[in-house]
Amino acid sequence: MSTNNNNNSLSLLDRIRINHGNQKLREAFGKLAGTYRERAVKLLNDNRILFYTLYVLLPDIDAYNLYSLLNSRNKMALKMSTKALKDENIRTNLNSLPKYDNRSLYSTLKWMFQTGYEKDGSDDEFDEVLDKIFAILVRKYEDKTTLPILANMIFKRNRQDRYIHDLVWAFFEIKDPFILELVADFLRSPDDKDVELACRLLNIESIAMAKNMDRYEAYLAWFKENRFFLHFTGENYQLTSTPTFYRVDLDAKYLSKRSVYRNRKRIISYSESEKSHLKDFNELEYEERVVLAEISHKIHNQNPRVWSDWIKSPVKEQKFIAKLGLGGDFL
Amino acid sequence: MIIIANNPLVIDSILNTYPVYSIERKILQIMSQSNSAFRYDSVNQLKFELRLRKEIIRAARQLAQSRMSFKVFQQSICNEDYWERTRDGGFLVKRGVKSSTAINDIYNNGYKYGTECATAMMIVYYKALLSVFPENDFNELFPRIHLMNWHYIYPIIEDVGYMRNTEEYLPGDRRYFHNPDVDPETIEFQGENVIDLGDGLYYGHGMGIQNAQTIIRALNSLRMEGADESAYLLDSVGRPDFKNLSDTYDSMVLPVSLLEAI
Repeated sequence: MSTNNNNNSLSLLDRIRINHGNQKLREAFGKLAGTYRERAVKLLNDNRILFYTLYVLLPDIDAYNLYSLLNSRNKMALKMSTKALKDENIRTNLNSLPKYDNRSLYSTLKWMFQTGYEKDGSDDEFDEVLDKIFAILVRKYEDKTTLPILANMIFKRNRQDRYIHDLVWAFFEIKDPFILELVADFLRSPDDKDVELACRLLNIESIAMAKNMDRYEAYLAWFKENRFFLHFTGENYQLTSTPTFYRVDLDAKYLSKRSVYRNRKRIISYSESEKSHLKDFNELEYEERVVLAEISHKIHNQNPRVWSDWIKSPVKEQKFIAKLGLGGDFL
Repeated sequence: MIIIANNPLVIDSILNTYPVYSIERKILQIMSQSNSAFRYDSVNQLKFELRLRKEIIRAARQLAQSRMSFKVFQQSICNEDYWERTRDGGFLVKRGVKSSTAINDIYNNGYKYGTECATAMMIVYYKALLSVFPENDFNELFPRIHLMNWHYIYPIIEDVGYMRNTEEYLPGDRRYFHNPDVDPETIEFQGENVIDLGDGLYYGHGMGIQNAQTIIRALNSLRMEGADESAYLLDSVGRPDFKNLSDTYDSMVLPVSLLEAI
């Protein structure tokens, strides 16, 4: 998905901005709005206009009081931007516009995103608008199509020492572990800052990496093993300097049952026998549980019938079998 | 219970060195009545923690009165006589300015500053440390402070950026109210960092000094449509490494005192 910069498909105002810059666009638009108001509004309401162009013209739209003449998409887009703006007058005027229609909010947000994200970094205010668009698309509409672009934006901003915490929050709020693969791609980046950030977002130091594998391969192997047992923690950069976004649900891995949570509670219920297995399992030290869960999962993958007998055996025996299997290294 | 150099402490002796309704007494009582063990190498180490906790609370109360505004990082503001605003919205002490001067300016000219709740917590910690350490030592420890939520923290106090589980909550702890169903239009209210002031009150930047119910109600009012999970207070805490700070204090400050005594 990218902004179509083919001049033939661009609106006139976009073409002026792209070819001559923001200032020239504003000057040209100002002259037009001062003399041919209707013509100026028509150009703004051109369906092809890019959101960033509309945003650049906001002070002029305000100065010539064109709000009421804008089409509903443009009104909604500008109103959505209100909170990020520093100009008090424009904020007041935008606040007085009628509340937007929730039914068309999604399509407006998508348009804002699709025709705006490439201008990320233009200024702090525009960045804040983008952060908000992503947050709403992901959190409210669970829109996964934006996530690859969101991942790229996070890493691009990080390379430039810009603010990323709200974008990171929005990214993880999709609450689907598949996004970890998007982050893992950056482990292969030639840029050290990308690799460092990817390691932080993936909590890579807490993952025991297999020897003789590169970081990316090792992470993917770890992810493949644990993906169905990953539990979203809700941690973020506002809470801590080292958020752990996903943790392995050891109970689920030990029982080889997918981890599904809602509102901090596991929503898959366990049978009485499973609860009984877990009781003994949870009396073990954390490190022991990590290893035993891993063994359990391996046995389950290799032979579910063998596993169903193994899981019924006392934990002490499971530990013993595990120890044999690991050549005596375990526990 | 309190353990000093592997021996349980009878708190009466130390308790009486503090005024009756003081925060230090309250903290000592919570520690001594707890089933958890609070371990120290010396009574001095314990006393240092009590003093720093008291200063954290004082600094939090003062910040609540400072007129510093609530701003998201993209809109953060600072007094550029002392601070440089960084690209990510943080504040870095300007070259040639002492960290102590820059921190004090936030308290003296709060209206010139605006940031969010986590950075406010860091301001509280630095101000509290400035009240405990002599100014020169403070500036030696923190030559160029960079404020930006839980990032760029000097290693000696980086523990405040980590949350850990605890069985006992003490006045002066950092806590966090989490708002899992926050309205994405107000991302900044995804949670609220607070300092536990004791007496069931908390200071959170933007919220002021409030009890837990009020903070939860405020966060709940900023949830998205159809939200079904309430904001709540996490059961973990953030704490500086009091013992390490105490040892650092002893290594920096005591020799001078001794020198003066000679």
